[in-house]
Amino acid sequence: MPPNASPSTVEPGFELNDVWLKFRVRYHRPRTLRGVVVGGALRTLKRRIIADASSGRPPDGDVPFWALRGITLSAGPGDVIGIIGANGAGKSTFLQVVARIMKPDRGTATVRGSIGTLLSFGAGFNPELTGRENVFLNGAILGLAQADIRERLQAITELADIGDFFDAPVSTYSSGMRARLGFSVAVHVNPDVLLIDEVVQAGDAFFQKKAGNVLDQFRGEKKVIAIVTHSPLVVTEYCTRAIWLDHGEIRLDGSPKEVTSEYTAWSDARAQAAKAAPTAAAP
Amino acid sequence: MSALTDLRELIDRRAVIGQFVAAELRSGHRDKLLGNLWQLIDPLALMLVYYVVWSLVLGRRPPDFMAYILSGIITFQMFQGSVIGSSGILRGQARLIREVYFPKASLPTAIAIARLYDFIWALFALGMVLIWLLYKQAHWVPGPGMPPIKHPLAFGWNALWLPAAAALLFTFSLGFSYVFAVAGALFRDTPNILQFVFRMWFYLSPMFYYGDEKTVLRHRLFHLFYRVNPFTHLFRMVRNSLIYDRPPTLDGTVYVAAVALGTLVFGFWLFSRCESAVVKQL
Repeated sequence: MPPNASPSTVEPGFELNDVWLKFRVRYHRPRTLRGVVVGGALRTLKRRIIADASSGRPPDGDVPFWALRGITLSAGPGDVIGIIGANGAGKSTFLQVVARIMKPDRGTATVRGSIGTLLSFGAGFNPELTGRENVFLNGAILGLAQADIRERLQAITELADIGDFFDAPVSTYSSGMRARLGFSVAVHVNPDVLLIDEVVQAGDAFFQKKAGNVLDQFRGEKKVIAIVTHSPLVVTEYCTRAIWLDHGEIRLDGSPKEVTSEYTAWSDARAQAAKAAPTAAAP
Repeated sequence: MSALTDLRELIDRRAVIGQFVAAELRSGHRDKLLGNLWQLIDPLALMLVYYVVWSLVLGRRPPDFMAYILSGIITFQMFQGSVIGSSGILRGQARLIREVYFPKASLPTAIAIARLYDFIWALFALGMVLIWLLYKQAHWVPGPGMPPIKHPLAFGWNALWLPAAAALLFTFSLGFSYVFAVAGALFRDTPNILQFVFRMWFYLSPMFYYGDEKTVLRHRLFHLFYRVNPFTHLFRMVRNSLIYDRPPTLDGTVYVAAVALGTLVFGFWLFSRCESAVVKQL
């Protein structure tokens, strides 16, 4: 492993304290500048003419949607947390809050140590630039100095295993290659807190093996890892702790075995119900 | 308060800005062997277009007329390129923004710096044109009914004021770019509106009002805009230093500096205030 990017004196970890986060869901057209200017003028006019009878609907047709509802959680050195839950349970949003990408609307989120993120298969790469140029760009974004990146270039290419494509534009990469390069860069930043969204499953068996080794090594170095996954296998194999998110709330927090079996049972029950529903309606 | 924290972070992470500038210039293939040549050819080609169009419309004109127009055009282009580029940058980099945390203000900042870099090359191109125009001026014989040269072209020590003019232009452009980076991310019709605004602004700025600028603008409203428009003064600054060899005027410079700084402070404050709303909407 490369030398530490930022030799931290603090124990790595993160704390979420009653975190709430909402999105505004728009069922109608996207918001326009013209709409705001003209619509705003019209609304004030209307309000002057008729006392605005509240329709119970928020203006503009915006509906707030709470993606996270009162998440309280703390993680410390050596924790590998597997996060599972149905689609739309708030798993990715949870990682984005820990990564400081989104600010909670209520509550606080604090992180100790440097953060590395791998949230979307290396989708942040600039497709027009080569893999090498992207490594420098991403390295800088993740907080590495040019010299540090140059030092680690060899190790990055080795783990990513993309051969001559390293000097080709990223637009020519397969999704697996892109994910591998993204994983490799994120890992070689050597963060104290590593956040992963569904990426370990990308790539072939060989890459998964290598990625697993890296995770084991991070755990040994007392770093903190949070992985969002749909695979119970990943949770039981790599994680020291598991969290089941449901509709933005923590439904269960415990050992990987316990949480995955509960979650699997719940999912199976839902699948059964979904299967039963149409047949029940048929006769 | 939080705008100050954001500013400190932006300065701490200036390496990110550098990488974005490099990426922005690189994706236009400008670091290639012919790239630097293109830097000169681009503005020269643009000037050629205006030269052809205006000599067709107006016939033969004194040599300083071309220098007058071209200096205005490249100045406005720096501003327009920076703001329009910034208005799409947050949407364009949405995936990166959702993937890692970094100071988002570095994106419009990088666009403005890249356009400043273009502007400096355009100044070199204009310098080349200027040599030719100075030669033409030395051999100028006014045609029948054509006024004598009113403001003779001159190149001299006052060209040293150019960096100051460029700094003010950059400051103003950067502030505007922050505002429209936010607007572009939040509102889908921003490019359409900007296109209209910039066309209007372009023609209302003393770009073509060669001669007595004030009599060209007959309407009182235009006259008012003429006086408050920062480009009236920015153009004058650029022209005075580069093509007329005159020092900048004090009141114009103070006014532009105040407007530019005010725009920058407001723009950055707005950007930092809207940042988290923008991230959620992308």
